[in-house]
Amino acid sequence: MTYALALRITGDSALAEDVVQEAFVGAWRNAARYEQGRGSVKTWLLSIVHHRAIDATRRRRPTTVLPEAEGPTPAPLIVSDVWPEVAGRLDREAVLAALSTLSDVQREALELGYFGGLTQQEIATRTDTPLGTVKSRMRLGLLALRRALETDGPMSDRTASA
Amino acid sequence: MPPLSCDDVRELAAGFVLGALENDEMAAVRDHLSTCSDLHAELAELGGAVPYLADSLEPVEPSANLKGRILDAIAAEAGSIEDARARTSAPTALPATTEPVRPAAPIVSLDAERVRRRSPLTWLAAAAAVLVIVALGAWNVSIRRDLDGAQAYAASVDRVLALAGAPGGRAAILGAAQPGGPSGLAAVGPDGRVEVAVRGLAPTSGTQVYEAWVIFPDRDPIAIGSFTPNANGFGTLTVSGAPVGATVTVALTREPTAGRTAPTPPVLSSGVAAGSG
Repeated sequence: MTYALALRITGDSALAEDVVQEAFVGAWRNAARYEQGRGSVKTWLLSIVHHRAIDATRRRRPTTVLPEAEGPTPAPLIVSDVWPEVAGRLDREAVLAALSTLSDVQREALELGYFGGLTQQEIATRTDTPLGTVKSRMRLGLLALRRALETDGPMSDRTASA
Repeated sequence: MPPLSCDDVRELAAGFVLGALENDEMAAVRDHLSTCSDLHAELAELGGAVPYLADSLEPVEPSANLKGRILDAIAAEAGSIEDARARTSAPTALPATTEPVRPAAPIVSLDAERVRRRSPLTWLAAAAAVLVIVALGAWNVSIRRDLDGAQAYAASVDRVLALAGAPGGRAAILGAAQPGGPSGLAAVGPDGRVEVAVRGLAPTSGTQVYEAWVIFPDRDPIAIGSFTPNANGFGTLTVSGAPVGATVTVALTREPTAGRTAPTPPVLSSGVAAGSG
C-alpha cells in the first residue's frame, strides 16, 4: 500500500521505491516520534510516505518553491486503533464506493491535492476555479468521504474517532 | 508568513491534512498547533478519512528486493546504534540517498554505566524495529487472509518486546541473510529466557524444523529450540535456560530433523543481542 501510494504520486517506479525505502528507514530512525494511540502504524507510515513522495515530486517541478530540505514529517493527526488496520480491513471496494458519493469536483480536488501533490492554489489555477471554491471542495469532500466511510465502510465498525 | 489565528487554521485545515498547502503555510499551521490551546478537532475530523484515500489505489507490489533492501538498511543502522564493539559483521553501506548514520552511542568507561545507558536504547531500537516489521506485514496485499497467523505473530512480538524491555533484557533484530528470507526479532533475558518471533518462513516438510541457535564469540553454536512455521510463514519460540553471556548472536537455520547439535548452513537470518554480561 505504501508503495502504491508512492508510485501514484511520483509516477516513477524507481523513485517510488526510493521514497518507500527512505520512509521506512526514516520511520525506524524516528520511531520515538511515533505516538501509540494517535494513529496506527500504517497511518503513520502512509503519512511519511505521502510527505516524502510529494516532496520528491515537487522537487521535480521547477515552478514550485523548493521545500525545506528534510523538513519535519507531520505528526499523524488521525486517531484510530492499531492492529486491525494493519492486518486487514483494507477494503478497496468500500473506499471506492465511498469516494463515488462525492461530487466530481470534490473528488478531483482531493485527488489533485493528495495524489497530485498540487497545492490548493495550484489546483485553483489548473482548474480555473477560485481559490475559495477549491478550499471548500476539499473540505466538503473530506467530510463526505468520512461520512460515507463511517456509514458503510472501513470506519463503520469503530467508534467515532474525532 | 505571519502567525496564524485559530480561524486561519480552520480555513487551512483541509489543505493541511491533505498536504496540499504551500510549504510556508504547512509550517505556519504546525507552528500554530505547537502552541495553541485549542484542540482543533476539525483537523482530526477532516484528516480521519485521508489515509483511506491510499486504500482506493489498485494494489501494486514493488520489486521483490525492496523489502530486503529496507531491512538491510535498518539492520545496518541498528548495528551502528548498538555497541560498535559488539558488531560481528560489517553493516552494509546505507544508500547514498538517506541521511547520515547516527553516531554510535558514546562509550562510557564504567561497565555498569554503559549497561544502564544501553538498556533503553536497545529497547527503543527493538520497538522501532517492530513498528517497521509489523508495518512490513501490511505490505502484502494478501495479508487479510493471514489475519489469524498475523495476530499470533503480534502476540509473540509483544513477548519479545516485554523481555527486551525487562531489566537486563537485550534485543536482536534478526535480519534476513537473503532478500526475501525470514526476518524478525529475538530477545534474550538475563535468566536465559529467549523469545523469538520470525516471519517470512518457507513451509517445512516431513521432519524438517527451524532451529534457533545462540552463538558466543569464538565458540560453537548452541541449539536452543526448534519450531515449525504456521501456514502464514510466522514462527515463534519461547525458551528458558539458554546459556547467557555478554554478546550473543541469535541465528536461525532450517534443519532436517529436530535435535541437531550443529547447524546446517546456510544461516537464514541472524542478529546480535549486545549486552552487559
